[in-house]
Amino acid sequence: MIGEYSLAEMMVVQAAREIAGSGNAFVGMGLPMLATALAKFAHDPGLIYSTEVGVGDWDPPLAEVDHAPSGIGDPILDRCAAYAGDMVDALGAWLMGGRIDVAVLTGAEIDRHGNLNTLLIGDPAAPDARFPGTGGNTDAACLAPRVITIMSLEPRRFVERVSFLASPGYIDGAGARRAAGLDPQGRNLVISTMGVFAFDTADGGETGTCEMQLVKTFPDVGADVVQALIPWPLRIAENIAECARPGEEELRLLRHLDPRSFYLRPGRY
Amino acid sequence: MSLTLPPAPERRPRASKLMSAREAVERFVHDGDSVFLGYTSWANALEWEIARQRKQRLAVVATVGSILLPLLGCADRIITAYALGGLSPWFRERLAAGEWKIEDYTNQSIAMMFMAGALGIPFIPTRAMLGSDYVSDAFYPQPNGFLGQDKLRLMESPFGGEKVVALPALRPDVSCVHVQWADEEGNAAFWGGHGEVRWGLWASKRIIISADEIVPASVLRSDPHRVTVPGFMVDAVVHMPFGALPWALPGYYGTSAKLQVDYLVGLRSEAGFGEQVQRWIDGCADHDAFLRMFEERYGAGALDALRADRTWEPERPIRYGWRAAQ
Repeated sequence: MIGEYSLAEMMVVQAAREIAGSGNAFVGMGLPMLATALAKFAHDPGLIYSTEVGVGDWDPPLAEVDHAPSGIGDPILDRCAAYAGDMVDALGAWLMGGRIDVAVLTGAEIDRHGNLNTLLIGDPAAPDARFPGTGGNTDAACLAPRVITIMSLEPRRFVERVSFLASPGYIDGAGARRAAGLDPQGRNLVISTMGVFAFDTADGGETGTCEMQLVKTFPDVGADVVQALIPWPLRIAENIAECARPGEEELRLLRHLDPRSFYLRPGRY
Repeated sequence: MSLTLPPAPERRPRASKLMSAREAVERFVHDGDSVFLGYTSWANALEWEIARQRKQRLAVVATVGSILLPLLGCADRIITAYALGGLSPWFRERLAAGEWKIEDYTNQSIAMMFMAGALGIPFIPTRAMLGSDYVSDAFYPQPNGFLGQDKLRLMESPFGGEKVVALPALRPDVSCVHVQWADEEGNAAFWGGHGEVRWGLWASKRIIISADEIVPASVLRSDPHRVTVPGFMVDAVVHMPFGALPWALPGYYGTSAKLQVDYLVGLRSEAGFGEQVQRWIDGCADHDAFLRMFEERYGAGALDALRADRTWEPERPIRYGWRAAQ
């Protein structure tokens, strides 16, 4: 804990600030469900909150919401939704059909070019670790015009190159998305427990190094601390901003939305 | 003259498909079948009946795939985007040992493969997975897989030349899905996030529906837009209150955290797994026995304590109707 809040809480609070104002959000499993709910209730009531099971524009009054959706199958998502359909609707028509503005995701690993790993670590034939799988994470990373990733900054998670590229970011640099048959994507962000990263490309991955670049740090966290946790020479923006500490109302709402620390229990995120 | 029609008349139902879970699984799940179990409408009770009968050489097919049947030796193949309980070290060890094969896809690709299966077309293109290792040399064909190059193909659109991933149609031999309401004819209504449920059902050659309530045939005939799958596509209907546990059923009950902890944590080790299987599956003759065991273990009233307590009904019922012939 730093003062009155944890770094994980700071991560979700900052993620909510970054998600606010982004329009039609595709909300992935895990921390994105909490952070996007906070964005909606703390900052941007008009934010559109849709999930892969087919719920479109979940928009309940805060007074009724005793917890952020605990997963894509949580029946609370039916409350005041504009639409309840299926995965072909959400991952097909909305995401692939171009109706989504941003996908909010997480993963097990992220690398220098913003690629995510959700499946396995090591040799695919004999993996050292295997995660449950990618769900709709890969679909969103391929097809959304913009991705915001929320991920705890730990050396095991931030790696120079993901051992399995489940969900493409900029793949291996400029032009790679287009070469693979994907559209450009950006401005992508990564919100961690220490700060916020953008990517060094002005045109969604067509040019630039497309490498992760530190653009904001959290209070009491220096860029040197961030670099120490990242195993490649990190690009650091010239004018790094410092994020504001969580406000009382942000923290109150966050804790209201995660009343039993389902999301923010240490070891879970 | 304006006429408000009375509630749909009691109909003489078509032949009843209502039967016990034991009979439904005996008749419609065969050794070697591919079995679709939908996640958001998880037929957990039917899955446990398949486990009780120790069906063999099954393939588990779903976006969220249970690892119960592989661990129990009932399934030797998995097609999934998310192996529920896949963090189990014991599961990974046995996967590495080659005891079963797995093909990893994404939620969208599995839903679309079902769609192709339901539509009777041989394949369907998508742009998901482009640029990922799912289509890379490292993973295609997938080590530990069983589909080889039939898993997917990279191709160019014959119209504009755009890169796409061609996915094969998927037609499960049988699907098991739990819903709120079904009638004896097999008409079934599920409300809640549908995931891939509709397309998985519609792609299946045989369908077993379990339902928390069996409703009169007139109920769904009065509101056909509510129906997820019509009875003429369904083979068996089983009445199973709390049949989704430990998962939630919208409007009916929430998840059972206690059973989830016992059961899902139990999957993590061979000893824990054996204990869970003995208690809930082999130790219970059927679903009713499971419900009694649930209250025996978690206390009298434990089932009632799960009932949904934040509920609502549509603010305004819809009205169907036509203009009488002039």
